[in-house]
Amino acid sequence: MGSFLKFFFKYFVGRLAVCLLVIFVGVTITFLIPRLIPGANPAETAVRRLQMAGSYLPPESIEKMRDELLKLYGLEGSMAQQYFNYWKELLKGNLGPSFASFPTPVITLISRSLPWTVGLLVLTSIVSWVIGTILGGIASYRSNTLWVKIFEMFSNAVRPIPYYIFALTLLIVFAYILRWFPAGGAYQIGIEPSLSWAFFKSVVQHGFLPALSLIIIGMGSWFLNMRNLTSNIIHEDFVTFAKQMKLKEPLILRNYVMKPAMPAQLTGLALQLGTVFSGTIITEIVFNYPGLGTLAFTAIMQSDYNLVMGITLCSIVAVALATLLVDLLLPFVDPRIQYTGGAT
Amino acid sequence: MSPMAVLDVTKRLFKHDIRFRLSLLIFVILLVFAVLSVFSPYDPRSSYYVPINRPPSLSHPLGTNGRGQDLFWMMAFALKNSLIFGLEVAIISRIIAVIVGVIAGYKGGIADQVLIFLCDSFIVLPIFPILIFLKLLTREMSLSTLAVVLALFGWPWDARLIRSQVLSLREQKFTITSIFSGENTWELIFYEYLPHILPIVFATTINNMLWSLGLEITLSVLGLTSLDIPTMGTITYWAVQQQAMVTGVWWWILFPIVFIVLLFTSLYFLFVSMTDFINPRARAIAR
Amino acid sequence: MNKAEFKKQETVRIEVKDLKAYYTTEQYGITKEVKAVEDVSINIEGSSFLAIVGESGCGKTTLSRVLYGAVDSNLSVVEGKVCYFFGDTKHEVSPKSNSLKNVWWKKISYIPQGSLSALNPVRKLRDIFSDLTTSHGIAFEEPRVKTHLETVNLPSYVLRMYPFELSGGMRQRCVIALATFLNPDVIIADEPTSALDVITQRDILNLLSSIQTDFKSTFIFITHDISLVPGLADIMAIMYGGCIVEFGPTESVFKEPLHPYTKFLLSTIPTIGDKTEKESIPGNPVSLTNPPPGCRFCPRCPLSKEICAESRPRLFEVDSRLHQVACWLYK
Repeated sequence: MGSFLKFFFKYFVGRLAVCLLVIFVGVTITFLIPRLIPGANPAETAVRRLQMAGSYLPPESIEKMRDELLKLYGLEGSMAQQYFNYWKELLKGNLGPSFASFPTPVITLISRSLPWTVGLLVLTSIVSWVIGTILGGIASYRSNTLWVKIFEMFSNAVRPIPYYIFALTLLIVFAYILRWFPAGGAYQIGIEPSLSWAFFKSVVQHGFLPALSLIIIGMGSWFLNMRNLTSNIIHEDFVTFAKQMKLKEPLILRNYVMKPAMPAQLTGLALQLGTVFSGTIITEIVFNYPGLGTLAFTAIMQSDYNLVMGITLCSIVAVALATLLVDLLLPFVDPRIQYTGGAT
Repeated sequence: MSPMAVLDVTKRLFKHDIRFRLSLLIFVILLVFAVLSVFSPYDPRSSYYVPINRPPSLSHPLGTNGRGQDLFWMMAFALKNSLIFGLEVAIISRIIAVIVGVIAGYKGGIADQVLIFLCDSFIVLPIFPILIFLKLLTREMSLSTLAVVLALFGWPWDARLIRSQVLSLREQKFTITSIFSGENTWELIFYEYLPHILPIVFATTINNMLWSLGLEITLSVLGLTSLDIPTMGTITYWAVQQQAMVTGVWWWILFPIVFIVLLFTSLYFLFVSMTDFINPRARAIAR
Repeated sequence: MNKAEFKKQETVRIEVKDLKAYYTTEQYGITKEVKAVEDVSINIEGSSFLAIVGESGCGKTTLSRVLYGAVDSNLSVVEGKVCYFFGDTKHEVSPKSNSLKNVWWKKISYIPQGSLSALNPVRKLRDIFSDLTTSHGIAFEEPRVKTHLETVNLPSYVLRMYPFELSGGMRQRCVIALATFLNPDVIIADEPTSALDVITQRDILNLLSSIQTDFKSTFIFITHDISLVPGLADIMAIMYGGCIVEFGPTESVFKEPLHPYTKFLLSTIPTIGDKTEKESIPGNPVSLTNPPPGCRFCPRCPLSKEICAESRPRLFEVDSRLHQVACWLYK
């Protein structure tokens, strides 16, 4: 046990270093992009907007305003100075003000939307991965049972359909035709966010459809993935030998078919985490869910660079952290990592 | 890979694989419908030429929408435009993928390393955010430009597939025999390798179309493409935007969704049944 | 626990009669049949060590699987049967029934060809043994497992390790340990030493031999290397193209090989000091999808007659010495 702990510590440090490096690169990129796009000097745009609003401003005030704005948007000084200030502000938790909703800080806007997205994504990722993996493992072993065939057909049928269409269909059927669920929002307008039962019920009601759409699609995909993995494993020598040894079938399924597939399946989860944010934009737009996705979309439409960059940065950090978490689970599932040094 | 062989394979697949049978039928029907657009009495870009929001009837088999357009002909155009779009992306990206894959696989060495590095960098890029970003910068993008952009993203995965195929072909005996019997590189690649690469290229074409059409629909529905050209995506966009579900004009949203589902499902099962056939380790049904 | 306790009380008899086993696959309307085992008949009594020798693709692995009763939707017994008599009880593998499965691992066990990959990579050895005991309704007692490991010369610390941490020879011994754990009467070993180096190979073969002597188990040993047979097996069978072409005590077969194929095989064994050039058998190995109608060795046989191409010879005794051959030359 002692050697495992020692190894795990080294592994954890290594993975943490990678995570921090990714965040560092992400921060640098989000710093550079707005400053490299031509004609996007937000201070100028802001001043111009104020001017177009019609009020008269004396030239000195405009100058002073421009300086203040430059400072506020972190555009003051040389690139190196800006970079240094950027990091300084970041570590204080300041992502700058939003351009479109000036002067609301980006961090405020994000913190309002973040819980909804994180809650939705964490829940649906875990649920769809766990259920899909278990069903997928069983499916390859009992490939002739009826429910497996139906499930497989369903997953295959759903797989090619663009997610937007699928989500839209769910919305139409359940919210407009059957009217079982509300057609948008995170909770009913008028209820105050609190720890009350009414609020909780409202949240669940509003979140059900978006979660369902993500879970069905996710489950189908993990099911097929696991089934493909395990249907290869079933032909492996050690499974044949296990059968020849007349080991009990549930035992073979659990320890000889599903367990060997876990490293690849878990790695698949880690790799997929990066793409999960693009999916969330569509979900939130279809179901009118006030999360980071809708925020990002409106920000893009309004050319609110600061907000877009802030959201991008948050997503990079979130993905890096989530990947780190999944990576930390890997040694418990794959004993060979101790010897390969954790190379994915 | 003579035409006779292809026909024979198709017949065999048709007879024994129900997925292939159904999906081919559906796809052919959709194709015919798309071709029908040539006979349309209406100009696809115009609007408000028929009474609005009429349910399906004899004169308007799929009804009319809130913008005064006949849905039947609009769907025909949408199918045609979407299919042509998918084909454009597929052809351009196939060409790039084959060139890159063959060079990387055959030449090896530095060329291979560089190309692989290029492939991997492209694969890692998150397409959706980048596309949205590009939209920001260029405002409206025509369908053809979008096709080129998607083609530039769609080749890496398949280039890798082709590269591994070429790598294994290169190790086979017949390569050495051909070289020693005087064939130059061009002849080798065209006459000897291509018959082995073509099935993969064909199968990945369908996969590519699924992907590009999916992206087109998603982008259109978010309002990011030229909205007056009818495609599967833009029709859905207008239906959603004009609240077809709320105003009770159900046929406006139903038919696009049905056609989209049919198109994607048929393409997907065509792809699956073909790859099962090409892959020698396909699951064999034993007695 | 001494080895004497494990000596078998009941006698074992194995009777294989006219066994035919084919692989059938159907894909896109085309049915393929591989006639891997054709008319095999073998009789073994008491605890012996039988070696089945043949080249790659001759059907010996298929035969070993059928002998174990490991048939499935792909591989099935078309005709004939395999009967095992354990004392008074009889178990049989035939086209209609497979009662042998009921006594898998208890009375008969199998050492597979790919031993190096036969152990679950994500399970420690201890857990694999525990899986075995749980599945057969026995309590897992670590001391007992450790004692058993001694019989295959494995140190007890391997229980704490994963298969990939062990060498090829050690993994092979683990598989043998698993196969002998419930003390079966019959053990089928399919090329257990093919992937090992010569020294480890000899160790493993000595181990198998000692297991046979000490525990009086019957071994059915499949190999492509005829040079391993002397000193190991007391009876041997030569297999070609799915058929047994020669069968008899090892001594007789080596002293007086009857079948032309056997003679070729024996001539390939290198001996120190022998400088003669080795000839390879002309022609190609027989195709089991489309086998010739007569004797399957006929196309490559230098001594073939007209009758050889027309009808396939059965095994018949020569000189009533339990030495049988399937060749028209001896009829």
